[in-house]
Parts: sequence; C-alpha cells; structure tokens
Amino acid sequence: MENCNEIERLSIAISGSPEDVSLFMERGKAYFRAHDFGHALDDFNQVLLRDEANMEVRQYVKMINEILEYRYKDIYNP
Amino acid sequence: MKKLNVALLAGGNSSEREIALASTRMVYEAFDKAKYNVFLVDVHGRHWTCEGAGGRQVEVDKTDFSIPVGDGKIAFDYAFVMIHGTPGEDGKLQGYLEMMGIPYSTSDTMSSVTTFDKTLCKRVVSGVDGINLAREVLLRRGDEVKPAEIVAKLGLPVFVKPNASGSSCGVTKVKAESEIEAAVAKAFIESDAVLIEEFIAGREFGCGVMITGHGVQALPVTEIIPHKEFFDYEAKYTDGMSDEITPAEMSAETSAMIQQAAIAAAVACRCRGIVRVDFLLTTVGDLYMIEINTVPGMSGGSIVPKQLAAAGRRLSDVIDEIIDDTLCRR
Repeated sequence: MENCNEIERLSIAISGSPEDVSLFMERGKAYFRAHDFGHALDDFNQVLLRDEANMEVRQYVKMINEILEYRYKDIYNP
Repeated sequence: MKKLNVALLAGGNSSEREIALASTRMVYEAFDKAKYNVFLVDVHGRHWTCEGAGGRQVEVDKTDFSIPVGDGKIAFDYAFVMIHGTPGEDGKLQGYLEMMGIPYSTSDTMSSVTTFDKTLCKRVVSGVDGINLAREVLLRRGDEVKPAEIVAKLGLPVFVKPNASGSSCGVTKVKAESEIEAAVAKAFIESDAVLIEEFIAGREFGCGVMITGHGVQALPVTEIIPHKEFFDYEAKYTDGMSDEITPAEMSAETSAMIQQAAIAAAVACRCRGIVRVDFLLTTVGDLYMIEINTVPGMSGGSIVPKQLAAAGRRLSDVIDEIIDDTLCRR
C-alpha cells in the first residue's frame, strides 16, 4: 500500500515535470520495492537515456535482468 | 493438514558456496519431516538441481518452480533460502521468488539489496543511535586508485573489502600504502565496487536477531577472537583458527547495548527472519557496526546455532516460526 501511494504520487509529479530524471529514479525504486520489475526497468531506462553513466541505475538494471532471466530464459530456452 | 513442499535452496554462485552447503545439511536435519516435505535444491548459476525419484538429479523448472516426477510434477510451496552471498543474500533470489508468488524465509528483495551493499547499508544505519560507522572510501570499477589520498584520509592500517560479498572473501588488512593497489585488485574480483575503511581496534562481536510476527528478539551475543590478524575466511571456517564465546564474557549492560544496537540496525534495514549483525567494540566503549548478514551461517561451527542453543531455542522451532510468519503475512 505504501509503495502504491508513492508510485501514484510520483506518477502525478512526472506528468507535471517529465524532464525531471530524479522522479523516474524514485518511481523506478518504488516499483522495484513493489516487485513490479517490468515497470521499474522502464523507469530506470528513462534515467539511462538522460544519464548513461549513472552507476546506481546500472546496478538496478543489471539486477532486474538477472531476476527476470531466471524465469524467462527457461521459458524461451527450455 | 497438507504437508508443505519446501525447497531448501543451497549452494549459490559465490565463493561462499561450500559454507552454504554445510549450513544446509544442519538446517535439513532440523526440519520437522512430519510437517514438511523438504527438497534440497542446489542452485548453481542457472542450473538448479534437485534429487528426484530414485536418487536421480532433476532440473528445477523455474517457469513454475517445480520438479518433474514421473508424468507429473511437484510444485514447491515455500523456499527456505540457505545461500550465502549471491544470489541468496543480495536480493536476486528474493526477486525471483516474489515474481513467482512463492513465500520465502529471508528478508525481502529491497532489504537484501540494502544489507548486501555495505555502503548502502551504512547509509541506512547511519541515523541509528548508538551505532558508529568506520570512515570510508568507495571505489567503483574504473575509478583511479589514489593510495596517498586514501592514507591521508583514513590513515593506516585500512581494511580493503568487496562492497558486496560475504565471509570476508577478498578482504585484506593493508598496513602499507604500497599494498593498497594489489588489495583493491583482489577485492574487485568479488564485487563491482570496493570499500576501503579505516581500521577500528576493538573486540569483535556477532549478535543474531529474529524478526517475525511474534516480535523482535536479540539472541545472546558472541565474542569472536580470531587467532589470525582478523576474522577472515580461514579464521571463520577452520577449526581452531578462532575462539567464539557464547554468551560473550561482558557486563549485562554491554551485552544489552549490543543487542539493542543489533535490533535497531536490523529494523532500520527492514530485515525479516533471522539475521546476524556484527560489531566492533572499542576500549572506550564505542560500538561500530561491521555488517548485517541476512542469511547467517547455520553449520555446526556457525555462530547463530550456538546463540540459539544458548537462548534455549531449538532450530526446528525457529524454522517453524519463520515459515509460519511468512505464510501469515501473505
């Protein structure tokens, strides 16, 4: 519930300031905390489009990809 | 009542793999087999194997977290994570299990990410009363190593350690500026970031904390007296290389102070299940947190089983409590 409210609040803020990278960063983390890895990845990729060298985001993206690979590599490469 | 199919996840990919396997044997024995069907799953990279019918090793189907049995399959209801290091302690396994809707025994994904990253963990704990943290320099892969600047800031000796690793793998106590670069290179083998910390002289302690719906309980404190320069991998896992005294010989006030700090750190990092918090206590009574282990060792020589015994708790009851708590929260 806590994460849902935070995501909602950040989504409203992003619609008002779509160029603010820090908002995508925060919403990406909120999605991550809620285990909504697909949406988290979308937001982190938005951050990387504007700040390619951001190490923290790169770590999140790497981790999400590893988590998703456990399941989806098995689906596509049984 | 239906018996739960529990996957006891063991092994892992890190240098702590052997330790994790030793821990798993003790935990496996402690499970009440009248309540649980326990399946030992060896997690090694993308290959997760489990002993199936007739002792044959079968691959776990990670698309639905099950194993094939004859023409059908056994789906796991619960994951008991006994993997130290990656992927059991850094949040990856927790992320997978959340995605699959499988309840599990450890702290959640975000908490595991936080505690496994030593710098991030220190940032979260930095606001907690009564806990001091060693001054540090953090290096990312590709950063230039500047030994003179490091020594100017932190003095000597310093501890050079992987930012995300466990069991003291890749850790070096550096006494000369000329040794820093080699120690940094060694730590980078284990992690993408390297943490260099000032040396804090003091007695070392570990304190287990249980956090479930039944409440938060700190276990009796253990003093660790390494016979080497510090409590490294060899000292941790070789008989006779360290003395571990449980309960530690100290005043009731000091013991309570360490227990309170352990609880505060674990709560700040939103840990669940059973964790161990390690500290250094200086001669003037300042307590420095070293790290939080969200999957502490559970082998015969490990600290937490000794603390549970000292607290009069049976490992089988602790396993029940952790599983009940996880299922109740769903």
